[in-house]
Formats: sequence, C-alpha cells, structure tokens
Amino acid sequence: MSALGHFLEEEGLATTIVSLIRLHSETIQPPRTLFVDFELGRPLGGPHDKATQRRVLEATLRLLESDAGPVLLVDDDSSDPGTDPDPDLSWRNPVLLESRSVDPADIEDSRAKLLAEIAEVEPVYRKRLEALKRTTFGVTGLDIEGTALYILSYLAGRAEPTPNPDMSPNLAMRFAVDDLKTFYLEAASFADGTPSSRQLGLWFWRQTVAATLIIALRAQTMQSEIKSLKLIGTVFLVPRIWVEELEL
Amino acid sequence: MVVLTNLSDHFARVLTDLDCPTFDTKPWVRGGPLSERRVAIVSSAGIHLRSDRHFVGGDTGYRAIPNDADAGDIVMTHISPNYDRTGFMQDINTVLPLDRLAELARDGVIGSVASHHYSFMGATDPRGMEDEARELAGRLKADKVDSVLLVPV
Repeated sequence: MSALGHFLEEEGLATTIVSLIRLHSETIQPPRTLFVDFELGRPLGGPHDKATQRRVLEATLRLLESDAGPVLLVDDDSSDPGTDPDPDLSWRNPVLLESRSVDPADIEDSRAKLLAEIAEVEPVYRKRLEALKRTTFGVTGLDIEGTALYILSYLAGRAEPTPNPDMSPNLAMRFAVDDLKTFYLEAASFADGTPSSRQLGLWFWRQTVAATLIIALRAQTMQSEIKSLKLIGTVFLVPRIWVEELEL
Repeated sequence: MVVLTNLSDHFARVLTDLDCPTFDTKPWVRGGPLSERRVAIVSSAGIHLRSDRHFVGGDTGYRAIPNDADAGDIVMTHISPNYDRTGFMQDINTVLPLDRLAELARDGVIGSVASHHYSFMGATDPRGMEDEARELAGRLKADKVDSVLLVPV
C-alpha cells in the first residue's frame, strides 16, 4: 500500500495512507501515514463503530494539509488489539447447532451431517440477508448446497468439474471453502452485540462440522502431488492462527 | 513497533521479515484546502464487484468499484486467509469506508467523492504493481481526483 502511494504521488496525486503495520511504513516512508493499531482486516476500526471509522478517516485525510513530509502520525486512540480483540460478552450466537461428531473419511456420513448442519444455519443466514440486503457469500456462483457438495467431491477424491468457467477446479474449491466459512460467519454475526473475530472463530473452528471437514480437506490436499492443490491446502484453507491453535 | 499479538507467530514473522521496497525519491504533491479536495479510495483488500474478475495469486491489477455501488454487490477474493474478514462481512466501512467518506463530503470536510474507487490485492509484491498504479493515476485524474486515500487490509 505504501509503495502504491509512492507511485501515485510521483504521478502528481496527493496520497495519504492508513497503516496497520508501522514497520512497513517506516521502511517505505510514503508521503503521509496514519498508523492505527487495529486488527488486520479492520483498517478503519470495528464494524458499525461509526465514530471510530470517521475519526480515523478524517485524521488520515487531514494529513493532506501537512506542509512537508514524509509524515507518520501515530493514532494514540487505537491500541494493540492483543490476542482477543474486542470481545462482546453480550453476543449470543443466533445459530443453534445440534452437537455432531463426523468422520471425514466416511463421505456419506460427512455429506449427511454437513447438509443437516447447513439446514440449521440457513434460516439465520436468510433472515440476516432479508434484513441487511447484503451478503459477501457467493464468489463461485454456487448456492450453499452446491458449495458443500463441491467441497465434499474434493474430500472424496472425485473432484467435480469447475462450477465457474473463470476458475480452475482447484481455485473454485478454495473459493468454495471461503464461501462456506462466509455463510456460517455471517449468520453467526446476526445478533445483538458485535462479536469479535475470535468469538466467531472459536465457534466456527471448534464447534462445526463444516470446519472439521475443511480441516480434513486441508490435511488431504497437503499430501497432493499436484503443486497448486498442495499450496492451496497448505496455505489458503485454514487461517494460520487456527492452524497453530488447533495444533494441525 | 506494532506488536501483532493477534496474529499467529508464523504470520507475524512473515510480516516483520517482509522485503519492503525502498525508494530514492520522496515525492510530495501540494494541494489546496481539504475542503476543496476530490477524494478516491484505493484499497488493497482484494475487493471487487461480484460481476468483475476475481483476484488470483500474483495479481498485479486493480478493479474499479463505482462510488454508488450497492454494498451487496462487493465481494472479497483476496488470496490470504490470515486477516479478519468478519469485520468486512458485517460492515463494508471497516475496509471500504464509502458511507463515512460520503458523510465527510456532506459535512464539507472534503470537497467531493470520486465517481469510482479501486482495489488491488495486497498479497502481491507492490513492485509488480507499478505499471498498473501509474496507469490508474491517469484514470483518477480523468475523474478530477486530486487526493487518494490508501487503505490496506
């Protein structure tokens, strides 16, 4: 991001940057930087926190009025998010799941239990979509059942053809996994309160059949002799922080 | 220095050890009062219209997002799973502050908002984005933009 600022400034555009990694800004030294100590993925602050979003945005834009630079301002009102950023103890997960154990090696069992779980998540997801008119689900173009079945076809070792002509089968699988996570996490966030990323992650990665199967798919694809598939499995299916926490 | 305690040890090391580019020049563009600036957002979150091309590994290109786009038409196909996406799922303004920027324009803090904003995918080495960034500068100027807010993810 800082390097992009350098290129655009050289082309005659004034630039100002929100920075989440101070070390990078100090190294690259773009013209104007506001460093904020927020969680990666939330450069303007937390969801629905309009006051913080506006404060960060305005402070970053005010740097455009600086007389000389490079200038790096530290936002003292943001603080290191730590290991459990902004937990909301009032949050109650609106998705109530039956407790299930699943054997990923048994594809029929996996299919039945994943679809049963999705049937429990879907009413909340639909209710949220109706209320907010917004979802980030659907990158592959598949619906949720199609998404689940496509992922299961990989787990079964019989990958179906790509559902999206613009994506290779392996890339479609990777995006299908993203979509499955999105479907669950959007539903779980539809409640009073604003759950932290860790609250949502603890639920998803520790309590759902979907996560158990994604983890199994990761282990399977990591053994693949196809380099691109092995890379997807190793790096892109399970966030590194959960790989370490779950000791995968 | 940022502590990065909410990241895995491995990912924190990747970020702190990253080979960042350095430059011999320090460009500095002067402008008028903020209240007269026309502002565009350039994000590195790998976001785009649902109908646009998804991002892929090593992608050095950018995608245009109209300022009046419906938030429900904007999706994220960034290659990395190692940052929070639940904030973006809940509120687009955590990543692309369209509503907050409109409020600043309405309140006279900035002059106006660009007709389009843009997103790259930050996992790509930015040195590879130079040509696209310079080409993007032409598009921004054609839209009368004089100031750019850069937002990472």
